[in-house]
Amino acid sequence: MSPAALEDAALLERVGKGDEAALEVLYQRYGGACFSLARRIIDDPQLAEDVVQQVFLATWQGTGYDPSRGAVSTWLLSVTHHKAVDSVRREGNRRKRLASEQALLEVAATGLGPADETWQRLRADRTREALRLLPAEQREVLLLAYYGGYTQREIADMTGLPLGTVKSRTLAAMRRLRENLGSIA
Amino acid sequence: MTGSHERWAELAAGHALDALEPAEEAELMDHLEECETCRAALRDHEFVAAQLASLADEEAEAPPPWSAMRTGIIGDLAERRAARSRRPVLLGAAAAAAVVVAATVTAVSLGSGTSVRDQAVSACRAQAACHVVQLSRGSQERAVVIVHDGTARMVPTDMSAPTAGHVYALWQLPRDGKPTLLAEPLSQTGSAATPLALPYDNTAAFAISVEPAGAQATAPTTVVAVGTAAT
Repeated sequence: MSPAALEDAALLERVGKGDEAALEVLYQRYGGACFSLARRIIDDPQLAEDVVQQVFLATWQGTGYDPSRGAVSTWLLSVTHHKAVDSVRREGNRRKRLASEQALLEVAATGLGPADETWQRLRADRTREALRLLPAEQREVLLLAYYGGYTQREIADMTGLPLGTVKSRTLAAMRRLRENLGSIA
Repeated sequence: MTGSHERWAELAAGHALDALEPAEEAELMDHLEECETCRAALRDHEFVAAQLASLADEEAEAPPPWSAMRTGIIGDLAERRAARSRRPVLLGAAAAAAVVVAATVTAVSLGSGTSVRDQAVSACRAQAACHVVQLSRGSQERAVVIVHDGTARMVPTDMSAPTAGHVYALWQLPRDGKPTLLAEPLSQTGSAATPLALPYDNTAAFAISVEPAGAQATAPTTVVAVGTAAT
């Protein structure tokens, strides 16, 4: 676990005791990453802002974080993704046009606070490299699900693949990514 | 891993990507309660999903500043804490406040509801099992929904009249499933107390949408304010 992750756990504990300043630090640290993720999925800055607000409201209310499930940053991004996908499914016409694979593989890393930039850049570089190593058909279903916000059934309809194939390719992609990401945790 | 576990592993991967259908989600949640192997697999998948987030680019847009987000996050809860500490005093005034709300709620316009809103919120917070849900657009509160005794009532904070040929509608969004229409059209003063479509505990959020006048909406067309239901 990175030094920042340890700090985050302490910050979240303070948030649980009603420390607003600690929540602000978490927002300064991860609000940008959450907003970027929401905007990558939702084609409406206001809705993306709503999503980020809901994420930090949940953090303030102390709902949902389980330390055994990983770092605070992982949890915040997971909640952001869940709420962003919920949002685009409610308002289908707000779904962002999916970026090309090439664009995703070339974009700059999302910025965090200066102290975390090096760690974040390493994570993004490793993730990008791990994605490149996936077979194209695995990468396709993964990106349609994660950044497109589509269910596996919708992906099967869109691609003409059997649902079972979408599921097995997704699982294979997730396992291979985990192996390729190696010790980055 | 057994064949049957391979199926659960597929569901866990889909869950980490938020790509399952509601029925699959429910099935997986039940299974996870009793299967440590699958819980561990899910932790790995969630880790991978979080790494994918690092590739979201900056879109050349800065995130909203904390000052813009703070009210929607801290403000409501700070008020709630203050109300809780005042509760012994407010309990005596609760009935009177409720009467004031009932008497004045019919006399305000959609765009000038702040004082009525404050009274409705105060009266609610002085009662047991009464919930206030802030409905916002961005960082701006547009209305509150008062949930009490199995009913929901919308009180506007800052909403302009809908454009010609349109009306506002109030929706209850379940944790699983589709939004349910609670009230349409909403009057200039908000809505009367309307029975909830499902228990508050199963509610993810409330929302206000703009709908074409004259036809009852079956799904929200343009959502203009939304608020998460806290439990």
